Amino acid sequence: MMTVLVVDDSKIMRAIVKNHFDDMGYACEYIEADNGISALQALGSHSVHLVLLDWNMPQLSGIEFLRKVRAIEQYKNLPIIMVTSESARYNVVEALKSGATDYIIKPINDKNFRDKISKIDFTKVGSKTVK
Amino acid sequence: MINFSVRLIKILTTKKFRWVKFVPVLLFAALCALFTLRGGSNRFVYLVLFICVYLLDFFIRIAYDIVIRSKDHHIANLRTTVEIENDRIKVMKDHFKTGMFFMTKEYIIQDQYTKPLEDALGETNLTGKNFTGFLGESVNAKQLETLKDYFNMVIERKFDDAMLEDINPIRKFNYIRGAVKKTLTTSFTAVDQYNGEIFILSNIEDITEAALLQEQLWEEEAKRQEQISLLFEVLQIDPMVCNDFIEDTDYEFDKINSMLKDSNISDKETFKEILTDIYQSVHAIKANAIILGLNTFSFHVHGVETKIKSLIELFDISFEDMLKLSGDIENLIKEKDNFSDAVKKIKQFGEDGEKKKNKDVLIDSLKRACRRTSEDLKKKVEFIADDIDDIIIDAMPRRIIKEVLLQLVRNSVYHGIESPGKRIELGKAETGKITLSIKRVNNNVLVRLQDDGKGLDFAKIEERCKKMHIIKKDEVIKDKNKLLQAIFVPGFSTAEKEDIHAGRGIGLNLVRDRIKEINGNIKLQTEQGKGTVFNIFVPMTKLIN
Repeated sequence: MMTVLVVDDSKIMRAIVKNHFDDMGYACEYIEADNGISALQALGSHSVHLVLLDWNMPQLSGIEFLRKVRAIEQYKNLPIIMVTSESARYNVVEALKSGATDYIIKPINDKNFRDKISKIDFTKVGSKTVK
Repeated sequence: MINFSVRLIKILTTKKFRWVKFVPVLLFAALCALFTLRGGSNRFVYLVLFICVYLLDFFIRIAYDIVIRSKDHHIANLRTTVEIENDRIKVMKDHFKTGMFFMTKEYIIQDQYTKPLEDALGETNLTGKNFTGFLGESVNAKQLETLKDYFNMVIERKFDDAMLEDINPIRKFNYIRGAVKKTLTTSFTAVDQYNGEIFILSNIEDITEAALLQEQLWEEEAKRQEQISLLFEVLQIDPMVCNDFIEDTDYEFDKINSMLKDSNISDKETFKEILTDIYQSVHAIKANAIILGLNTFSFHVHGVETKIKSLIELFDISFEDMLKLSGDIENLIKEKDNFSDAVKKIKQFGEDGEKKKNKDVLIDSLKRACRRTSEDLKKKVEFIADDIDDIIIDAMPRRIIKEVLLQLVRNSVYHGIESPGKRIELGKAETGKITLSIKRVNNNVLVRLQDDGKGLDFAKIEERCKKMHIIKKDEVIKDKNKLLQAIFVPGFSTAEKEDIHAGRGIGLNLVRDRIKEINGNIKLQTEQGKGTVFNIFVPMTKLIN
C-alpha cells in the first residue's frame, strides 16, 4: 500500500488530488496536512511514499517545507510533487531548483496527472521507519 | 629530437631553402661523375647507377607535383563550398524573422546573431552584452534570479527538452525597456561547441504587432457597433433603468476602490479574500452591463474579470500587478462615465413623467436581462412577474435582490429553458416561461423564481462533479442533494465552454454569498423535464423600515 501525503490548505483541493489518485486505480493511504508544519510532523510519524505539495499555505509555505525536507538526509530521494497554478511559472523553476521531483499545474488535468505520477519511482522511499 | 627535425624540415621547405633538397642528389651525381672521370673497370657501373638515381629522383618529383596539384585543386573546391555555405548562412541570418543568438553560460551574447534580435530588444551592437541586463525592467530581482536558475537547468540539461520548454518562465512575456514595450516569446536550448564549451541557443520572437493589430481591429469594430447600439439603447431604455444601472455600477466601483485602497499586499491570505470580493463585484457589474446591452463595456469587464481570476491563482502578487489592476478598473470607470454622460444628455429631452416605482424598475431590468440572454441564445422566453408585493420590494435591499435575481434569470434562460425546436418536440409551448413572485410568508419574504425548462440535468452535474473531482468517478450518488450543493461551489459550471453568459461558475456562487449577506437561505426544487424553482427566504428583520 502506497502512502501519499497531501499538503494543501484547501480541503476541496486535497479531495480533488485524492480523487485523482483513486480514479487512477492506485490503492493509496492518504495523510492530509493543511500547512507545512503539520506536514513535517506527519512526515516524521509516518512512512510516506509520495508528497503532493501546494505552493501557498499559511505558516510554512510549500517551498519552505520543500527546502526543510530536502535538507534532511533520509528524505533526499523522497518523491515530492509541487502543485502550482498556471500563472505562477517562476514558482516551477524555483521548486525544481529546491529539489522538487516534478510539478503539476492547477487546474489539474487528468492526462497530465497520470503522466507525472506514472513517472515517479516509488522505490525511493523517505520514511522514518523503514520496515 | 623530433621537435628539432620537424623545425628543420619546416625551415628547409621554405622558398629560401628550396635548393637544399637538391643537395643530396647533386652530391651523389658529383661523386659518380668523379668516379666515371677517374676511369677504371667500374666506371660503366657508376654511369648506370648515376642515371638510375637521376631517373628515380625525376619520377619522384613528378609524383610529388601531381599530388600537390590535386591537393590544391581539392582545397580550392573546399574553399568554394565553404564560401557558398557562408553566403547561404549569411543570407539566412539576414532574412531570419526571429532573433536568434548564442549566449555563453554567463549570458553574454555572441556575434553572429540575427537582425531581428536588435529590433526585439530595442538596441544595436549586442555582441558581448549581457542578455539578462536587458530584462531589468521586465522582471523583478527575484524573478531574474529564478530565470538564471532556469538557464542553468538548460545548460545542465537537467530535464528533457519538452519539460525545459514548458517551465521556461519567459516563454511569453511583456518586455519593457525605457519607452519600448513589447510582447516577446522566447525559447532556449543548450548546444555543444566542438571545443566542448556549451552555449545557449536562444530564439526571441516579437509578437507585439500581431497581438496589437488583432486587438485594435477587434476594438475598432466593437466600438463602432457599440456606438450605434448605445444610441438605440439609451433611447429605448427607461431613464430610471439607466439611473439604476449607473447607481449600481457606481456602488460596485466604490466598493472595489475602497477594497483596493485598504488592501495590504503583504497579508496574502486576506488579500486573496479581498480579490475574490472584487471578482464578485466585477461580475455583478458585468451582469448589469449585459442587461443594458453595453456589449463592448461588458467585454472589457469580462477581460478584467479574467485578469482578476488569474491574480487570485497567483500567489506572489506584485505591486505592479495591483497598479495594473487599478488602471484597468480606472478605464472601466471612464467607460461608465461616458455612458452616464450620454444618458444625462438624453434625459434632458424627456424630463417629464412621474417617478417609476422600485418594483417596475426591478421588473424592467429582469425582463431586459431575460430578453438579452434569450436573444443571444436564440431561445424564446417570457418573463412573468405576477405576484409582487410593492411594499416589500420597497423595503428590501434593492441592489442585492436585483443582483441575485439577475443571476438566476440568466441562469434559467441559459441552462433551464430549451430551444424552441426542442420544446415543440417535447410537446411544450414554444415559448418558455420564467415566473417571479415576491411575497410575505410568516416572518420571511419569499422570493420565488420558477421556470418551465428541462430541470436540473443531474447526469451532467454528476459528470461535471466527477470531472472536477468533487465526487469520485465510481461513487454512486443516492442523495441528489449532494449534487445540488455542488452547483453553488465557486468554479462550478456545466456550460461546455466559457462565454460572456456562462461558464465561469461564478454566478451561483455570487447568489449564495449575497443571500448569506442578508441572512437568507436558498432552496431548490427541480423536476426532470418540468422545470426548476428557486425559493429564497429572507427574514423580515433584515428589511429596511
